[in-house]
This record gives sequence, structure tokens and C-alpha cells, in this order.
Amino acid sequence: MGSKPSSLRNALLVAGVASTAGVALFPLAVNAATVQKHKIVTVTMGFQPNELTNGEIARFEKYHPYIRIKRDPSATNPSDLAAQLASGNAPDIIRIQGAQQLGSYVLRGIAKNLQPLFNKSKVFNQKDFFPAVNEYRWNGHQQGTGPLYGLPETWSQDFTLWYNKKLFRQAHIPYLSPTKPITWQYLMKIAKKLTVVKNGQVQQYGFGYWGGLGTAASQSLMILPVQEMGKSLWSANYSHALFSSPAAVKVEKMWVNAVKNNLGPNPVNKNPNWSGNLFLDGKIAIEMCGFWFEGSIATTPPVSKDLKDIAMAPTPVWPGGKEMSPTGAATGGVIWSGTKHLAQTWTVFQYFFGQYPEIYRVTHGEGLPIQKSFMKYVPHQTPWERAMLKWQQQNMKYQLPLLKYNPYLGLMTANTAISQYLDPVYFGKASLSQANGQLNSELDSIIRSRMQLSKK
Amino acid sequence: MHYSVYGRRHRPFDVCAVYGEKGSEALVGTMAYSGKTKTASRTVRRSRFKKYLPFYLFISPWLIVFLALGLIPLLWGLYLSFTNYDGFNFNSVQWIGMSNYVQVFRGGAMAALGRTILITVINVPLGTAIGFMLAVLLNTKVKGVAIYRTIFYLPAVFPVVATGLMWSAIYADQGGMLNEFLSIFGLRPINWLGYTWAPTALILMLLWGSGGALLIYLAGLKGVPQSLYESAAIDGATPAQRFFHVTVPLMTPVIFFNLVLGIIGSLQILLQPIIISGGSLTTAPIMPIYLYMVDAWLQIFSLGRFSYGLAMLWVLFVIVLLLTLVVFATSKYWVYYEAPGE
Repeated sequence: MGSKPSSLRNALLVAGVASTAGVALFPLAVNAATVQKHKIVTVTMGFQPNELTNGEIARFEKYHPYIRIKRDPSATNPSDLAAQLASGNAPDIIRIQGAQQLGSYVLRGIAKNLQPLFNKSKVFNQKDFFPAVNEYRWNGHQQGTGPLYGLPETWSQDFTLWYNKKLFRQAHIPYLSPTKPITWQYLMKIAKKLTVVKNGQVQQYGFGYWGGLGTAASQSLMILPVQEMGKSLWSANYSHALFSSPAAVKVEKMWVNAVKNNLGPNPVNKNPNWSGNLFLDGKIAIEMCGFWFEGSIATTPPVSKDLKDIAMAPTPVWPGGKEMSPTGAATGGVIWSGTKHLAQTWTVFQYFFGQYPEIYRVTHGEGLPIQKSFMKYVPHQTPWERAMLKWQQQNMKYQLPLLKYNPYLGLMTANTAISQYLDPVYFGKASLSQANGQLNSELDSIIRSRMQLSKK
Repeated sequence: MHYSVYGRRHRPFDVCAVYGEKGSEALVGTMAYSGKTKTASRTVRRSRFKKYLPFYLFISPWLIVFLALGLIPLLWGLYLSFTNYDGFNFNSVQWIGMSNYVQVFRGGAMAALGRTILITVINVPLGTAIGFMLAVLLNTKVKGVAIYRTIFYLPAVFPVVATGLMWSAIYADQGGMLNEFLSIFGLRPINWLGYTWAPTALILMLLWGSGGALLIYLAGLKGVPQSLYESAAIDGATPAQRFFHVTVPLMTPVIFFNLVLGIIGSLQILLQPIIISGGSLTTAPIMPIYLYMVDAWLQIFSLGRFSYGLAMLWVLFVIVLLLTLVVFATSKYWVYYEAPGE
């Protein structure tokens, strides 16, 4: 999620839309809130202030006199959340990265099945949901189907490419096709040409990745190419990691070369700046990032001054593989199974994910809406915004299948283990086969213990 | 005459010492006269209670906090280290005996401990020596000494996260201050956070904070009697001789204190390696600076092995305890205590 840039246009648009929506939905909200008459109930949300602003809380409380919202940013810290869960004080609405965390939260009994509430909801029309919302479905074995346990705030196809045409011209590289994806190998090739080194110092990187471990192997950047090849990084029931499989090794070799060629900030050649900021500063030619980056690009100089030079291209594909462009995060929320005020929490949930805050997020270019009917709020005032929106709409058809994250590993486990065992390979201190053996063994042991716990 | 730290040594049963001269007379008199031992013991208990009540009332805030936030959580952590607790299964934890402790000695934790001890062996003596020498220099009467003292003490005031981020920016391979400086002389950049240089970079960063013990050293130096220096000067001692034969011996208790704290602190280094590595708090630093506490932290918060991480911490506690006892045992050979009456 990016920051919330302010603009008069967006503010007016949101104010207009929200006041209409707010007034229209007021009777519904009051009905839900007056379940316990005259008793004020506090609903806690484990979100950051830039995700749920004071203004948004005030607006809600104005229309819902019997519900107070308490924001608890500490719950976005996994260690704090673990302590809160252990002591029975977790937030009523817990923030998670649905794509990577939903399975582990359902398996541990933390997330509540919300399907019965969705079926009765007058705020959400389930037929209106984009397929990416399926990241919050769990059928007992895997994500994608089954009842809904939560929703994303917004979502994006997180592996699409933003690129700087000016830097392409300087390197005499043709622009990328807006419709035909380039291969991962071509991406590495042009990234090498776009990387400018002077006296051993990188002046300009070819290719950056906004998350994970930088331009290096990470859970997402392993799963995606492997899945494009039609394979998986996990055994069928997710009980084993398959980092030694031929498909995984091919992808790992690509990332080892990317690190050696210093194509972007990576574990060997660290850069104190976030790669997204380097792109905004014109120092990275291609940034792998979702549509949520649009708001930052449109408002942050120097790139915002020459928006005609910034374009999007499809997610790279493995040669001969399946073209796909899934989400890698789908950050959103679930309702804690231990909540003591389900009716009030559901009212807040509907407000946050389906009403004013959702419209605000979408209007400010922070990502795509979860409901198709909200696409009208995606920024489209300038020619550049309209071009980006048009491109995004064309690319929507590749949002499925979802990436297969291991439900027993959660958000950080795999990346921590990958960085621990692959870093020696990048530094030439271990072979890939050695590292993969250790990595599989470490992850298998964690998966095994969590599988045992989830059976209890 | 032998003195204890509290004054004259008490006799094995000294009524006077406990109740005072008048109180003891009344007590003994009552017992002898009436012969009612029950009344006497009740009086003793009441008297003792009255005597110690203010003491316990005064320390009660600390005692309550220590019990609630110190001892009980520690013992709770000890219990959890024998279970399969993973941070989320609080209601269904199971006793698994010593298996977490066995794993600590079989897994990579011992390698991390070895690296931590190596860093400690280099960092603590150097840090102690630098801190002490700085204090000696700042104990001299030069113009603006207060400013120098402030400057050298400043690293101790900085939060460790801020310090780590600052050094991370200094060491960064790309755009780092140190490499930018080298490039002025046409030198190629060095990967300060790579396998070869990372331990050195970490130790340099830790040594930068050597001024942390400055105040304690300065307080110790102020306590060295001037008369000893004057006597030594009259006897013809050179400044170096005065330093080695007066200052150093009299400062050994302070050095000893800082040494013990330094060892404990160094074995618990956690945030510095993670932050200078430039990743998130859940990213593993490279192996040469992957220290014991870093391992425990990542096992708990990244890999979700809470009970195993707790077992690691209890093993570290025992190691710290043993090392401290060893240092204490050696102290009789090199720490000089000035005893009253000698």
C-alpha cells in the first residue's frame, strides 16, 4: 500500500460519492448497531493509521452512535499479534496478507468463517467480486474455493512491470509490448543492459522488485515462475518443500545470476533505499510492482513530471509456460474467531471494505477495488491515468490462477529460510544443491510440526 | 578486627543487633519473669514485623513489578520451552520434554554461539580498553573537556535502531558513505557487509559505542585519592608508572564491573547485525554475523518456533551465568579491593 496523496479532485470525488453512500447505507448500519440498545461497543482494528484514518473513523462513528472503532497498529506486528491472541486480546479485525497468510490463519482457528454473513449482506454483492477475492476462500485444504473468511483492502497484480521509457531509449532497447509478456530470460537480458555501473558503483539498476528480498530469490519470485512452468514448489498436500526440483533449480539459477550481475538491490549488493523509491527517482529502469504503485508514481517527482515515459507491461512468463498475473499480497482483513461483538464487528468490516474507506483507497490509486462496480472510482481524469486504467483492464484476465503459497508457512517463514540458506550461494560460499538440501530440510521440519498442530 | 560490608560482624544469635539494647532487655526480662513463651514469641513476631514492615513497603513497588513482569514471565517462558508452543496454540500446548534443548545442541545454534563468542572475545577487551583510555583522557583538565565528554558519550544515548540505520547507510555497498569516500581517491568499493568484512564492520560499529561506560570510569577515576599520586610523584614515579601502578590497580573493580556487563551485553547482541544488514527485522543476516540471539529471534518471530527459541534463551542464560562465574573466579588474581583497616 502506498501513502495517501491528497488532491482536490480526489477529495471532492470521494466526498461526493461517500456522502451519497453514507446516507444511503445509514439505516442499515443503525439497524446492525442497535442490536444492543444504548450499549456502546468498541471494535478494535489491527491496521495502520494510513490504512484507517482518523477521519474515516470519525465518519463511521457519526453514523453509528453505538459503535466505537479503536485502531491498534501494534497488531500488524506478528509478535505483538501472537501475544494478543495468546492473552485473548486480539483485534476484532486482524490485518493479513491474504495471498500468503489466509491458510495459516484458518488452520490455526484464528479467522472466522464469514460466509453466512456475506450471504446476508446488503453491502457486498458476491457476484460483483473480482476473482482475486478468492484469496480469502478456504475449502479445508487450499485457497481459492470454499467459504469466504475475509476480504482484501484493495488488490493488484503484483508482478506486472512498470518501466521508464526514457531509460529504455538511452539504452537503445525497444519498449515493452503492452499485451505480449516478455520472458523472464529476456527481462534479465535487458535488465543487464539497463544496469549502469561506474567505478564499481551502480548508477542505475535494470530491474527492481518492491518486496521480498529484493532482486533475488524469494518465496513469491520462486513460486510464480515455477507455477508458470506448470509445477509447484510444494508437494501435493504441502507437506514438503521442493526446492531441489528441476523447475525450482532453473529459477534459482536465474536469480543467482541476477544477484551476480547486480541487476537490482539484492542481499549481496545492498542499497539503503527501497527499490520503489529508486524507481520514482529514475534510478531503476523496470520495477516489478502492482497497480497500487500508480498513486505514488502520479504524485512523486521526478517521474510524475514525465508520466508519458512511464508505462506498464505484463507479468513475465517462463518460455513455453502459462501466462498468468496473480496477486502476491491481497492485503486485507479477517474477523478474529474470538470476537465478542460479531454484529458490530461485521458492521465495521462492511464499512471498511465496502464503503467510504474502500472508495477512498481506490480513488487515490492505491490498488484495484474488490468489487467490479467500483472500477469507476479508479483514477481516470488524465490521459495517462486513462491509459494505465485501460492497460489494467486488459490485463485483468490473467489474475487467475492464484499463487500456491504453503498454508503451513505463513508470511515470513519461507523468506527467512530462503535468505538464510541462499545467501551463502550468492556469496559463493555454498553450492545450490547444498543450500537446497538445507532449505528443504528446514522447511519440512517446520511444516511437519505445524501440520501436527493443525490436526489437533 | 574483621569487618563485613555492613560493619561489625554479627554474633550467631545477637538479640541486641536485631531488637536494640533496650528492646532486648525488655524481651529477655519478660521471658524470664513471666515464663510465658507463647506471649514472648508473639511479641517477637510483632516486633519483627513492625521493624521490617517499612522496608517491605518501600521495596514493594519494585517487588510487585519484578514478580509480575520479571520472575513469573521468566518461569512461564521456562515452562513453555518444554512444550510445543508455536505462538498461536496457547490453548493446546503439549509437554515435549527436553527435545527443544536437545535440538539446541544439535542444530545450527551452537555455530551461532561460536561466532557470538568470537565477536565477544574481540569486542569486549577492545571496548573495555578504549572506554577506559577515553575516560583517562577525559579526566584531564583541558579546555572544553565537558564538550569532549558529551561527544564521546553521545553513542550511548542514541537508540540502537538509529545507530544501526546510520551504520547501514555508512556501510552500504551502493551509495554508502564509506565507499563514496573511497571513490574520491579512485579506490574501488568494498562490500563491507559481505562475508569477508561483515564481522569487522560489526565490531567497528560496536566499538563506536565504547564511550557508553565513560561515566562509570570517570566516577571511578574521581575516587582515586590524589594523595596516592602525590606520594608516587615524591617517590620519583613517572606519569606512566603512576598510571600503571596507581590508576590501573585502583580502577580494577570498575574495570571488572564493566567487563562482566560487557560480556553479558556482547553475548546478547541482537539488533545491530540485523539492522546493518539492511533487511527487515525478519530477514536473516549473512552467516558471519548470524549470532546466537539473532538465531533465537528469527526462530521465534520468523520461523514460529517459539518454544525452541525459548530453550535457546535459557541455554544462553546458563552460559552467561557460567562465564560470569568464571570471570568472578579469576577476579581474585587481578582485581584490587581496598579493605578498611588494612
